[in-house]
Amino acid sequence: MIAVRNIKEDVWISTACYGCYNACGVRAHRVDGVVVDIAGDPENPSSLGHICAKGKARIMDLYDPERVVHPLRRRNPEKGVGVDPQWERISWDEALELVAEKLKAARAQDPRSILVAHFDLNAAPLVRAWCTAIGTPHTNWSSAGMFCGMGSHTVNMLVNGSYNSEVDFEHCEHLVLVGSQMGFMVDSNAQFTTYNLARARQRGMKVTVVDPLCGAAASKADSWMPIRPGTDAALGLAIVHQLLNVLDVYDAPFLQRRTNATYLIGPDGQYVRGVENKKPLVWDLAAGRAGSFDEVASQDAALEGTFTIEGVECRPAFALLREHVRRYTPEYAAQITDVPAAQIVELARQLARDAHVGETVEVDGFELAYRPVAVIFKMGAVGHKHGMATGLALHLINIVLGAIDVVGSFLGVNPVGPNWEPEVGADGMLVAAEHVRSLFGYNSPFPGGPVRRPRSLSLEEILPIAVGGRVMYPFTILAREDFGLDIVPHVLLHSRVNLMMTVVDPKAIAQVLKRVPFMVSFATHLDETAEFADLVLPDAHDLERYDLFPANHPYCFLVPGPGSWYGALRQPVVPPKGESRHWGDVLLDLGYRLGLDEELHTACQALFNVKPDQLPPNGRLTVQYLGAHGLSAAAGDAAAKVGLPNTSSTFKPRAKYVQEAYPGNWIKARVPVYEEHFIRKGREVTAALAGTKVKWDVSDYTPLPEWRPSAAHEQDPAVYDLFAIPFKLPFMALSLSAQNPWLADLGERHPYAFYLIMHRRAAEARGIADGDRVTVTSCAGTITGRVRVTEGIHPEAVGIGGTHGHWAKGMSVARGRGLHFNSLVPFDLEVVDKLSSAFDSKVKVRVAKVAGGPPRASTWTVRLLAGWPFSRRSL
Amino acid sequence: MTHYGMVIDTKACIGCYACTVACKVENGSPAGIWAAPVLQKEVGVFPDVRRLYLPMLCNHCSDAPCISACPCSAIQRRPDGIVAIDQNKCCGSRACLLACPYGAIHFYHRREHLATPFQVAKVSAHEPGTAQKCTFCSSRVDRGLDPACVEACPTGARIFADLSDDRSKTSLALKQSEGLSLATTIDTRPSVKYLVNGLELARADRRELSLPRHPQQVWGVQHAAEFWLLGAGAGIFIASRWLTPDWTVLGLDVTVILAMVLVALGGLVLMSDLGRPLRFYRAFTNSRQSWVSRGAVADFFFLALVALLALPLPQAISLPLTGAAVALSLVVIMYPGLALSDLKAIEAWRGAGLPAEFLVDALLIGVATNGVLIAWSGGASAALPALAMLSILRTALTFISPGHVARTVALLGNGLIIISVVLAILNPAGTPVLGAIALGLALLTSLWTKLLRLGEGERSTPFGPAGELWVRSA
Repeated sequence: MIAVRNIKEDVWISTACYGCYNACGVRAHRVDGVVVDIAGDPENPSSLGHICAKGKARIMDLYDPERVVHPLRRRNPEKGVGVDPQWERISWDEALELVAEKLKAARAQDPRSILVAHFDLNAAPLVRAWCTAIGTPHTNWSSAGMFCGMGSHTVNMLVNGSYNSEVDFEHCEHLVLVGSQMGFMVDSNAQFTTYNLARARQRGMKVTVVDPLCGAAASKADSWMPIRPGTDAALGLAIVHQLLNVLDVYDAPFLQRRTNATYLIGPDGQYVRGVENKKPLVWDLAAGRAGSFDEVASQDAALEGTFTIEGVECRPAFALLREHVRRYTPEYAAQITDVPAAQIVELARQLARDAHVGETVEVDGFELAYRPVAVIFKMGAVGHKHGMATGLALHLINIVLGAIDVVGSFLGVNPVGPNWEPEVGADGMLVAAEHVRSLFGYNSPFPGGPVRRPRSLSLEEILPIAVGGRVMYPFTILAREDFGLDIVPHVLLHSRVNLMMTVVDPKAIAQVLKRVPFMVSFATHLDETAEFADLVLPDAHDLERYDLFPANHPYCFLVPGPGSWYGALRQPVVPPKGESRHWGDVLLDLGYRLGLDEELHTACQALFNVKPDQLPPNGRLTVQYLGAHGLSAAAGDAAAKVGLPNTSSTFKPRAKYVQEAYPGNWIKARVPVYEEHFIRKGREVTAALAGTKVKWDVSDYTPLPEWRPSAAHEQDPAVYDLFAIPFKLPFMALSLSAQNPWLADLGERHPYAFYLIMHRRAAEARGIADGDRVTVTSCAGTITGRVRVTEGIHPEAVGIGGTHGHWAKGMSVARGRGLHFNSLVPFDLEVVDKLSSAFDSKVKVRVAKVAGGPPRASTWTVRLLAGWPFSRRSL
Repeated sequence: MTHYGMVIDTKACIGCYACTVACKVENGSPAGIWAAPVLQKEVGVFPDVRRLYLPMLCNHCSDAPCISACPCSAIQRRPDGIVAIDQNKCCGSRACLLACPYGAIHFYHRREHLATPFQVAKVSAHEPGTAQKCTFCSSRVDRGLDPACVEACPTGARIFADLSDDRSKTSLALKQSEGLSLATTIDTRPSVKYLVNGLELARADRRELSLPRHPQQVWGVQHAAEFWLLGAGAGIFIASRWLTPDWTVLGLDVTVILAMVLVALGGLVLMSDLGRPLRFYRAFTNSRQSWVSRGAVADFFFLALVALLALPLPQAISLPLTGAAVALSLVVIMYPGLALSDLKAIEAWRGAGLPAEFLVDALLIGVATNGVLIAWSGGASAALPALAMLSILRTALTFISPGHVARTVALLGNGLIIISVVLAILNPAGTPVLGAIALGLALLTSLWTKLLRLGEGERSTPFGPAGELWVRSA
């Protein structure tokens, strides 16, 4: 009988999900204090009222019995994988006193010895403010960034003035996804892109997927082009070659007006500049002489030709590009990529046709450029050594077709907003709006950060092009002397990032973590990284915390599409479990314990605009207070109504103007086809490292992108004969999903979530059958797992999905499921892309069957004598 | 009249499992039960290869075979087309699991540890020991909402509306492209249609989508034992009325006692196998449709009659009672076979083969038992020739049985019975021993073949071992 309960409370609380970084607007149903459902918030422009498997399953994470609910102190001084930390429960007061003491001591020696590692995008501004107050530049060691979109963010910042990419799904006619499953419940704005990509496919938009793996995107595509891992640059350049040199299709007016294609390049590879004003020169075809780029009418600027100015022979950048890509014939690219030459030619032909170069369309009374093609690239393409060069090569397709931020094309995510637009930087080139860069402290790849001898553990001084040097810490912590660094890490604060699993070879990361004398983990689980902590502090679940603008603070991160500007609020649906607290609040507390009131308030004034007279009565800021302050600033009088029970927590000031939705038609700044500043930056980096022992490859600092083989391509095929590649699963994200009992169960029922996927021919050649246990060995180590034999992967590649293969005792659901890809990635500077700081996500491996597997008896003997037939467990 | 249905656009589906988990949350489905899974199947050869995604759920059939299979009348089809299981009526016979050609019904065996407040709030509403399935989120639909899977779906692949309304979303979608049903072993007039437009269909050159099938693991050893005990008991009773061995204990007819004990034991085994044994009485309620229900009624009256017959009764009373009991015993023997062959979703069990095998097996055991009793008491009877005839008949029946293992076992067992009988005829002195051997062989063969015949049944399963979807070509 279903007991009839006397329900006292039944409300829907609107908030924002945090099952991945997208922070979709959701509503949580709370009945008598228990969350019984989570659904999409129809008012939210990002979720559109939908929700994914991860979001729904957050309920089980919230109530996970294995959650950390009390501060825990380590008793065992010995640290290591599998070493019991011998946790003892202590009070918050004791714990905070202990951390404050360590922080005080560290600050007294050198504030830079304090490090924060996290992948909590929503708390990132607060963490920055806190670090500023503390005095450390080491605000954001984020391992997720290593494999994520580093190589694409940098390219988008250069070309679109934006951090992320999307597509005008309403008009696009041909979408090419290269190493990206955007629109398949991964990548940014997952719900929005997934819904709209499905609509676009129903409308007839063509989808081409370039990927070694036949996942959801490739399965739904009109055409799947399996490519050899890490060779996408060659494909991109071959298509550009077809467009420019064979088909002769390119958007000349766009190149003249919006790019540096007309800038004259001298023999040294640098711009030829005017004698007086030092501005780059272009050749004025009407006047028959050179003139400053901003003086010559764009339609008169030459794209072709060789000119002599002041005795110096020079050519427009476009002419150099044309010549540069001539080498990438379909046959040459086919050799590198294993994509048949005919297919490359055909794709280029289709793009040339579908781009409608020269056509316009009327939108809201404006006649706008209409370029309904987009080449989207993400981690699969750019998460490699030479990843940024690959991104630049692929983005050149969009650029030469003029498909940048116009109707139907590749769009940056909000390069232009209500009160910001990209700046016109040096030489007329585009610099992302201050507003877009400031909150997370991103570096602008143009003109690039100042290059100096390394002074910080992030090595940002020698990564002038990367948007943020947030991945180099393991190298500098272990080998600071090599870089000439004098910083000895004393305290590491760590939250929402499982460093042991999401960086590289865990054996090396264990050494890194052991090197830090005092480590604090703000944790929901005693995961692989928390096992190294000296102190574990219970962190609040996202259904227990308060964050303003989780997805788009302030409007610059992830507002999707041509739709509406919005703000959103994350608010607690239930009180924090046990003694857990939002780690941002704990940081603020620690700041006050250190007596840094003034520093904190100054930093928060800068980032959150909290003026001295706006401080709370007790003078102590909290995350909730900062949120409420921001909310009233953003939503005005409506703030009081945002997020009340049974209402939405999303507020929408207004719809985007056409100028914001399709800014490419209005932006004045130029985007690069030729990265002139790379030459200089490359030289500066080499000079800055002179005299150190560091081997730093600056081969990618060339103004035009090239395909270059990386270490994996050059491994001895007799030893390692397959490329291992990671990939994302639509129902799993980051390293937490496998601990969710529902998602783990679905993973077990999924054909390949917890398997090594391998091509049939590759398996046959090694005597491996479907379901066999195998070892996968790279130069970094060996992992074991089961094989799923498939036709859906490039025969030279094996794939491992998600972040699985957990080993921490505190994650008993996740433990032992699936394979851990990152264990195969060597801890080696060689795998880092020196432009973007992306890590190489392909590793050469060999796969062998584990001997002595279970014997195979004939089926009916087994059915009669062994386990047959009827176990009720399997009903 | 309203007829709710769902149209699933397989081209839109990306296999993200949002629907699967949404269903889990909305319904608080117990551990391991996924009422809205998404199946996957790889089709083609590299590089011309694709994964097909097939969202699954109860098809809310207009001719729902689960309704007639349920002995408890626990499954009803509402006027709006939603087929629902009443947990309070379900006795856990699991006949519906076997009747459903979509594998959409799941058995909630025993309550898992409810480790979270969510589970305490929602999973506790499910009764262990009962059958569970998709309800089309009837409580949401009654409030005017879409089912949870439809609301969650990020690609809008699932459309839910009134199929009988020409202007509804589902009807409009079906006008634009043809809606296919899943290819199953029977036509059930499902209310779920799949749009397999464009790519997948063209590429794979497939007309129908069908589901993975695996040996059923729903009815097993206990059911085989139950069928065997019922057959043996009733068979002994019938044969005893003919061969009349004169064995009594305390003045009671031994064969009658034996029949009663075996049939009662069979009933107890069946009861113990129910998910909710104390609701066994509900199994009497659907004798209009379900052979399991008819059998339960027959078992009950057979036991009652036989109990009366054990008493020394005047012949005027015992004779009609015996006639009725013989008629009932035929039902007791054959209803398991009829129930299995009535589960049309399982191809291996269709036809008259199973009821016939069960009848002959039961008579073999009955004749052998009675023959042995007579032989031990030094008498002679017609048992031996009858045994030989039945064994030959049983041997003949093996040739209409599809499974080669069951056939081999039956041939071997009955061949040995025939040899024993022939030896006994040649050497009458050895009859008691050889008869006992024949009886042992008959018992063994009967049980074993029942087990094997149950194992031959294949049913659709919502998740195959590798979550695969089978595609059947035209």
